[in-house]
Amino acid sequence: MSSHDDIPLVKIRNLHFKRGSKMIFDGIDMDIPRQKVTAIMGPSGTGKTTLLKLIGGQLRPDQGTIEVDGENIHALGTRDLYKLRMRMGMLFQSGALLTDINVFENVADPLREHTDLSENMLRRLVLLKLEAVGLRGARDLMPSELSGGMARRVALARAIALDPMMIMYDEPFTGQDPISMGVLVKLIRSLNDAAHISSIMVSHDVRETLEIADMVFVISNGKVVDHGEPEALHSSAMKWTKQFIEGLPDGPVPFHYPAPELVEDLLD
Amino acid sequence: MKSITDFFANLGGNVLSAVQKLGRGHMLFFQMVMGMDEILRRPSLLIKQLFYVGVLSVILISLSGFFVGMVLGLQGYYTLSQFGAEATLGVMVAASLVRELGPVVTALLFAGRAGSALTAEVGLMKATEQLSGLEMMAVNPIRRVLTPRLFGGIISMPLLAAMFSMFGVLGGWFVGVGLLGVDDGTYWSQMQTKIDLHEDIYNGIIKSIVFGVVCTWIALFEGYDSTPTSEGLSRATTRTVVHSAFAILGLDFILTAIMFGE
Amino acid sequence: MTKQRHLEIMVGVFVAAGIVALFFMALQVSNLGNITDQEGYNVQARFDNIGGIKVKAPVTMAGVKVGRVTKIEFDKETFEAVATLNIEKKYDQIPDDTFAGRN
Repeated sequence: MSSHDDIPLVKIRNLHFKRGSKMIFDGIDMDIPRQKVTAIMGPSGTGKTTLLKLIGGQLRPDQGTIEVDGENIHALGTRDLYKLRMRMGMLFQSGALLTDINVFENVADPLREHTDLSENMLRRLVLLKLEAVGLRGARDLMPSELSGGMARRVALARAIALDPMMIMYDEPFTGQDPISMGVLVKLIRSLNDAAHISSIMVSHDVRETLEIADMVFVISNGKVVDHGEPEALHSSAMKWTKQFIEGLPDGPVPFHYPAPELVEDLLD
Repeated sequence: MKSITDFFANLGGNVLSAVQKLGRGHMLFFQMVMGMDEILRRPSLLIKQLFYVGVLSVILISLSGFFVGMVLGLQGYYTLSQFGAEATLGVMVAASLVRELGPVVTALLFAGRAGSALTAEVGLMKATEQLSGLEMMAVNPIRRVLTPRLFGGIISMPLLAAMFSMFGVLGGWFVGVGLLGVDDGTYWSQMQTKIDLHEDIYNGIIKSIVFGVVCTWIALFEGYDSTPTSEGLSRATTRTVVHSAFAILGLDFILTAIMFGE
Repeated sequence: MTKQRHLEIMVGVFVAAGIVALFFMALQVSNLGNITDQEGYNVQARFDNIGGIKVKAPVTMAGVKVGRVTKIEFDKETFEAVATLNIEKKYDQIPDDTFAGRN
């Protein structure tokens, strides 16, 4: 698909990003490999979604560079940025389907926008994409009639409509029942392995994520605190990683929000 | 002393952010207009918006027009008959409708009916990441979502205003001729003698096109610029209706002065 | 697709109704329907004082409209107002010695 298969899919160097006065990223370096499922994990509020938006070029970093497929995404003009985005898919937490058109039209939309396919070809292609996520039968439903898991699957079909080189998943498992969670895990894995679409996933669902990821980055306080293969993380010596992966209530991330001593507060 | 400097600092900040908002609004308008080729490429997007913005407003506009015309007929008859001038009832009804009430009341109703709906829709699309989603699909959300809505509003408004005026004239006729006994022929012929195609009708249409641009623009900008929370959305919707009303009435004065003020 | 068809029909009806309303306003409400065909002929009338007469005001004979005022000028030699009246072609039998008055 690309002429430079040897360089990483996404290369992040010294990334700084502030929202207001709050530091979200404080010097992040990351190499996201091709054709693998890479998970970026961390507690809520660490800016994992922000990272995806930075990679997608929707936000600008304050400092540092992000290269996607060898191109510095924030140095691209609108036209080139859009060209690059056609090769990137993104699955939003809510699915972000257009609510005023049905499932079929939602999946057809990127094709109508970017290609001049005949209506007949378009129909076949859309049905194939819907078949891949198991929702060919739901093509006439409106997004409001879908369950959360189905909406995410339709959004996935839409994201792969243009056969992108990568898909970014924003918290794909949050708020899903065990069955749709299992379906999504299987879909992400099969898209990655069979269709050779590289996957980047941000998540805090430890169990599912470790089950499917090939590579994991753990972010906390604006820095990458740990990375490696899932097995390596399980046996990580770092206390922080251990607390996060095992879900311990107290540890390096304290149970208590910073406060004066309880006794002092009560006697106040 | 401190409160005085604070006051001026706040004032300056507010003025600055208002000017900034004005700038953002105009940039958005420019981007929406530049997206015109999108509706030429996919006319179905425009047709859909004509339905939501135009067709769904027809009943409201027609009924309101008919009622306003009936009131004009009634009030006009009482006043004119004191001078024995009932014969000019048609002129009075038609002139008020064509020049002022048609475009203005239609635009006010439009802001309440379609404008607030557009703001809520676009704001919700923003809140539910639909606009971000389009952007990530390499689709410009301004061209894809806002431009068809803008032109839907611009095309709908003069058509709706014409319907309003037509039903108004018929409403005046119903009361004046049907109930109060003004002569049918007089009602129409007086109207036809005094209402001028250029001076009155064309100017009325121009007014309603201007209102169409401004109302839709305000509605779309407020939605697009809204804070994506329930509170932000409800504020944006309110602002749409309030700002549209101000803009319509203020512009109406300016346009009237330019058009009829020789 | 039937929904799309339905939508298109409704929009078509809407636009058609709007255009009908525009034509109604132009033909039934305004003076378009009885604008003098320009094939009438012009006569000039001189007044000491033009009073409230304006361009496009109707010209009537015995209370019947026969034409319109098309131009009003001031004659600086005679200090009179000169009104050009366009009289419809079918009224071509007006005697030469007719006087114009304003009312």
